[in-house]
Amino acid sequence: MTKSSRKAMWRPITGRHIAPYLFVLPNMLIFGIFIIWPAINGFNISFYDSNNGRTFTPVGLSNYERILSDDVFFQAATNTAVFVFFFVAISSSLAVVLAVLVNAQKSFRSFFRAVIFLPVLLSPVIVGLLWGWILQRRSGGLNSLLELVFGFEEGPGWLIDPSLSMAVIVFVGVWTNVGFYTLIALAGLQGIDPNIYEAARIDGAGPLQVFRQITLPLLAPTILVVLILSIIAGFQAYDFIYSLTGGGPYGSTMLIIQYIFESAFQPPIKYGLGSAAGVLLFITIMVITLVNFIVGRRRGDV
Amino acid sequence: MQLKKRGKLLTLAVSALFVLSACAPGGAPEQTGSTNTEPPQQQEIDEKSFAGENMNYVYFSDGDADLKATESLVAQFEAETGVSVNLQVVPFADLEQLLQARLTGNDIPHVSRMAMLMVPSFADELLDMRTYYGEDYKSEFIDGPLAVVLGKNGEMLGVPTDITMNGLIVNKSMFDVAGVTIPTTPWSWDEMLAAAEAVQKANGTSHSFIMDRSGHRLSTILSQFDTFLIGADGGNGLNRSNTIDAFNMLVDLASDDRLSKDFFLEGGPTYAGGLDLFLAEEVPVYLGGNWLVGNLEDNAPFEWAVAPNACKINCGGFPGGKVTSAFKRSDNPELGAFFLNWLASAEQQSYIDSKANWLPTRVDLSESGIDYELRSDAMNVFVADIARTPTVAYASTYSTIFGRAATALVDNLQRAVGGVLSVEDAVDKLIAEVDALVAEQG
Repeated sequence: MTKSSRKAMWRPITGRHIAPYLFVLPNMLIFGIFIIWPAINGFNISFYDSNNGRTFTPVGLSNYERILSDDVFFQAATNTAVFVFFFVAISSSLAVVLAVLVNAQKSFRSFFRAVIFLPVLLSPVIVGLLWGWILQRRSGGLNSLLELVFGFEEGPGWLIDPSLSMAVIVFVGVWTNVGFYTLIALAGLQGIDPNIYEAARIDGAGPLQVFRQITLPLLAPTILVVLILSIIAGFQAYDFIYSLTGGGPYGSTMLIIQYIFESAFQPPIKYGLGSAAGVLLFITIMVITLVNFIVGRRRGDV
Repeated sequence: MQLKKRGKLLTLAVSALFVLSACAPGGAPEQTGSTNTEPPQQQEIDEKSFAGENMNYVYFSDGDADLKATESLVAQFEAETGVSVNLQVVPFADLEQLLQARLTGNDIPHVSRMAMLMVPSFADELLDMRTYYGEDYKSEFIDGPLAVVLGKNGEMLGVPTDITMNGLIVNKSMFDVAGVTIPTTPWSWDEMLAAAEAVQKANGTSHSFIMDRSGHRLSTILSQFDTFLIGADGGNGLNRSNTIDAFNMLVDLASDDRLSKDFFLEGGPTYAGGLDLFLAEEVPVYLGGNWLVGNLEDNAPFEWAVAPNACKINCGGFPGGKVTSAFKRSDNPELGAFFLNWLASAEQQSYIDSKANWLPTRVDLSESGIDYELRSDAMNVFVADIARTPTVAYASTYSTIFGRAATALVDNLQRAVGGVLSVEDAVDKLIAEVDALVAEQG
């Protein structure tokens, strides 16, 4: 180590040096105490067995072994994969389409933006109850409408038919969240230089070409953010599904978060088991997010 | 250079995680190794020494009535003893985690009301009442609820303060329209279903019978068919043939919507309400319980009554309930024990039972009866069913694995009702799942 580098290392701490850290300190403290520390502790607890939260017995990897041999876990994992795939695909593409449509409006843009965003403001539990009433087979609003318009004697069992219930929770998830993603996409669209569009129009490009050749590539970083956020939201989906279907019928809408919650908190309590399932979920989300990020960045570089 | 720095950071983070993994969270299990079944040497309590002391009482409320009665009793206790009681009312959903956190953080309350099935989770922290009141103290309580507070070596880890009993609540106005008499003595399932169908037809209701989508309520029917999720020995108590009979009856009821098939198959929170359908007058008979008396009195726009539970092999309902326990690591366990004894006395229990519609847990009150302020006619039907309920039903509901077994029961019955599994396969799956839970519990 040279003298100059040693000097640089031990230079006196001045207010100017420390100020940026002080600015982020309150946020980092809260983040560290309420997010990072519990997450690390969760990782630690996954190697122990505890049914009371006070005494812990080390069990090595047996919580992981148990989860990986549990049929219910695999059913929940498969349900989660299906839900996340359709939720992310539909909500991201719909968000881009809605953002383009809203952006193209000359008047009432704020009105449309508010209408699309409105479901985001509702409590997820209320969303679940609301759609539960609408989708009831016998007395729900949707089947009453189908009966009125098409004369159906008995409408579909939206919430009691396992082949329909997954589609229902994807739809409700998209309905609840798409407004938020649309706002993000709209902000991205409004950041694109209007001169580029004008130049394209002068060159004779049609609306579809403009969308494919200009809007989509320039919106790619925003779409990447939407994708990452929707993937995380998809994996974390629980509250509206629980109040809508309770994970049923026959576990067909039980996602991984419900599995974690029930493993950890339903008597007999198994905190280690719930933590191990949480760690597996964390690893899955991290890998998918990293891949998404790296692929997105490489494409951006190209 | 940048890569090296990142690599070092990553190595540091991973090492930190592994170092942390080596640290046990919380504490290691206590190695008590005690197999001593001898009661502890009885100690005297100096009541006068409590004046001026503070006592923390953690409580969860089932409704306004029990909370008001409890507040009144607390005020009386304060006036009699000079103790200042801090009544800490918490939501039931948070109670278990809250108590665990307080015990871990050494912020230990003196006493707490708890659900009966929570007792085993806190057994190592709860005060043995025999320490101050002796072995004979147990004899003041009814056997079923008492069993819940008994530790592995005969310790008495609290006092049972109330029990609940499932039972049949009927729309009396509809029964009157149909000219069907509500029985005052136990009736068979066939008689009950025939009466319910007659009332359904006369009133044009959608269904004839409803119950909450809950393993606890379903256990009432299993008990009447003499089959139990958990047996008296803590093992699998399911009798395959009887369980198949019970499932067949329910599947048959749901097949023509006498029991709402949709209601049964739809999801949502487990205890979603058959009560809503009953209050909406869409069904004349509802399998609920005594805790609903206040609610029904406030909200039912019709005359209602309670009928004895239907019988198959057994009669009676299915119990639940609460206990109050003292913590031995609190700063004054003696005060906790003294308060429990005071609270569980015949005088105080008679007061709170009558005000809050609780069913008695004391032998003397069970024999003398309670003079309920609200709908004593209905409450006394529930009380009468306590004696008819098989003792093994208490062991079943108070097992720590009852919750998961009950979830498995609902899940497999739903599969049978929905036609996803045959009744036989659904019952076999249920038996296998309960076996696994019992094995896991050890």
